[in-house]
Amino acid sequence: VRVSLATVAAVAAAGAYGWEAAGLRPFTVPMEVVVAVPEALLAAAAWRRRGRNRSGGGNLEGNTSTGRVGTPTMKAGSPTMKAGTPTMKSGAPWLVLVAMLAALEGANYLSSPRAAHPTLSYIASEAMAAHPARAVLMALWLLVGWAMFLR
Amino acid sequence: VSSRELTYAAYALVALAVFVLQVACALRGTLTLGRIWHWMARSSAGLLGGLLLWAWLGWHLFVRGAVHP
Repeated sequence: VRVSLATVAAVAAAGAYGWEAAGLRPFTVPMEVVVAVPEALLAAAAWRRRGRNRSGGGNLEGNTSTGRVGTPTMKAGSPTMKAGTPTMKSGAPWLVLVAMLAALEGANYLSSPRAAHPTLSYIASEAMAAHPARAVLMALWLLVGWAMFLR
Repeated sequence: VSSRELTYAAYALVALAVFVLQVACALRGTLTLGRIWHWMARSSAGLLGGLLLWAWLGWHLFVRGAVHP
């Protein structure tokens, strides 16, 4: 397994940022700032990158900047991955899981007491009572954003 | 078995199913979550939707998330 320097740097940066941010309290201006800043930076970078890809004639299917879509693991001519477009057949298992999760979350949200019927937010809130867990979740959130919009 | 334990077990089952499906799709070269996202991000609406969802999640969890004692 090869891990790029960029990935190591991103994990280290997210970890450090998450650790510092986890010390702040919710519903305070400092916490709003430490969440809003990466959101704004990432949104700007993602939009700028998209503009560059478009003006440079970038083929988003075989995006050369990511090098991940259209990788050798994708079977050429696969009936479920024609031109990288999801079909009902290939997307059905994911749709079923999303529906299951939505139903579970909805049922718990409408039930009470919350402690007996925890929603995902409630579980996350409970887990984040401890500083290290809060730091890990914050770092994970940042890394997900990095992987989705910058990588 | 309490409702709480059942709920946790149900979430764990869904998470396990997501993991298994993701690994299976990656091994078979079919539709992984990454590929779904790349397909969505090809359009401005998809990219904007993803950005808004990610931003909302951060705000919801860290800024507006209640702190349990």
